Amino acid sequence: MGKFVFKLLRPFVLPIVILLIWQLVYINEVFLEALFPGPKAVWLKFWEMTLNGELFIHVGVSLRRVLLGFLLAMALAIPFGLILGWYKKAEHFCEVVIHVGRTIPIMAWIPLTIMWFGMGEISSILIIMLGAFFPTFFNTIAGVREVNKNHIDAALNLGVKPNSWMLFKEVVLPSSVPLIVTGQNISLGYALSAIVAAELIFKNEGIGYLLMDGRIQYSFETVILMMVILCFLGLFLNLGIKILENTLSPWRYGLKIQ
Amino acid sequence: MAYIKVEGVEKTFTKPKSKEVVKALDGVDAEIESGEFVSIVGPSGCGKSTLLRVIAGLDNVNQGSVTIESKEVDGPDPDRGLLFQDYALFPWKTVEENIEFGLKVRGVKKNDRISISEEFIELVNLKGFEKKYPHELSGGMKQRCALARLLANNPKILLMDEPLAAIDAQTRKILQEEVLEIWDKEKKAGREKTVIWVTHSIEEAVFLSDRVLVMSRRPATIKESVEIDLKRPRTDETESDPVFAKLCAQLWSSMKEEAASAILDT
Repeated sequence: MGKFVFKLLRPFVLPIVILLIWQLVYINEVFLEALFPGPKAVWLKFWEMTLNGELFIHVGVSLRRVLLGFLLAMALAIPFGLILGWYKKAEHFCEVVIHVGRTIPIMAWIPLTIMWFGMGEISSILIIMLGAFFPTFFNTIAGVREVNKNHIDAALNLGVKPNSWMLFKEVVLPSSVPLIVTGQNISLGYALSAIVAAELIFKNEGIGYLLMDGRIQYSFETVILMMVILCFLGLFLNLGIKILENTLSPWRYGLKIQ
Repeated sequence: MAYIKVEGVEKTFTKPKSKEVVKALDGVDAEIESGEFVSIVGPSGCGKSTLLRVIAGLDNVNQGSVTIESKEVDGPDPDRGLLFQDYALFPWKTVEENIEFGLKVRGVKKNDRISISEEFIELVNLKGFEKKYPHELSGGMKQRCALARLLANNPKILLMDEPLAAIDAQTRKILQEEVLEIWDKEKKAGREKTVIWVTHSIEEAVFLSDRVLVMSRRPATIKESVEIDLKRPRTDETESDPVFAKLCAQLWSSMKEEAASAILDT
């Protein structure tokens, strides 16, 4: 029993230790209080912003942008990835554009989007889309390419026609799901980076806006609170992907163990 | 005219890195009658699997031809079912869905598919495992599932690529008898199967077959064809029959020099 409880608690020991060290550094006044708030100040800020509703508005705005940008990116990355993975010639045709496109850092798109779409909603979502697109796109191509040759042969042997829709639907697509989902996880991380970058610069509501606002007002607790919120947002979205993954490919569970 | 006729089949491969050309099959000739159970033994790496893939239509020949009922093989056909050495079950499909796959391809309705798959799940003793995924099965169960997937498709020819190679000795013994039983049951149900069974075990070949073909080392040809004059059904007693031991010894002496020189290859 004791062993079981310890096993359950083990991952939480280190965070608690870090929290304690934080508190210790704070009460011993190692740094100036104005530059280094304690855990309690951050917690109080959390309450304050929760009670006046500010937190929900901004988190809501960011979450909406991330989800919208992410979903739009997926709606493009997965179909295009599947097509380019399946038709080698199509990939060859698009090769240069893809690799040039990928090399441009996401942040470098920001000035252009501002000039075209202003500092509003469209620009934010576009930046997220660009950030989220490539990891899933490349993983989808790889997923299609890396389908096990034996599974293809087995399907042909059982009567499936080469290069047919049946082969694609029954063999290629399901076998590429795990790599696609891995790509989605990476995309999500990129989407979160992109939203913060966009909001820091556009200053149009959202978590990134609060971060920047905190800096301007020298409210360190706000800045730290926003970082914590971002971390939980990431965890929460990752969990969503995990659930999606288990629904889409329950068979994958065993493959990871092998 | 033989049912399956393999004539002067030559097959070469180019190694991807070194571009070295390797000749796997060098004029293989064989004739197999309808309903026959024929095993092919030979040193490892001699091209037994290649020959099966050629007959299955998954690999093209460089020279020669394979004809089935006088019709030349020019691609895969569900009538020629290949059982893969590593099972090649679809990991994203359950046992049931794997077995139904060939039927689904042919457009058989869901209800009919279920009743057919049930029949074969019972035949290969996989009852209770219908909803399991391949990763949840043992090696022996995976092979049964792969066999059921093939049989459900009702092929006329079964091409078996070392199906029991990865299975432990006891299970293998049991599965050998099961295979013969299934083969017999299928025949009685009006679904006669011609079997080509590739193995590296001489005992297994003798125990199962009507005839055993010995392949030479690479580049391979058929070196010898040995009739197995043992009565069916084959049981544990078959193996204590002096004829069994004699046939094994005869095949081994034929294969020994091939196997010995094959070790020096590759």
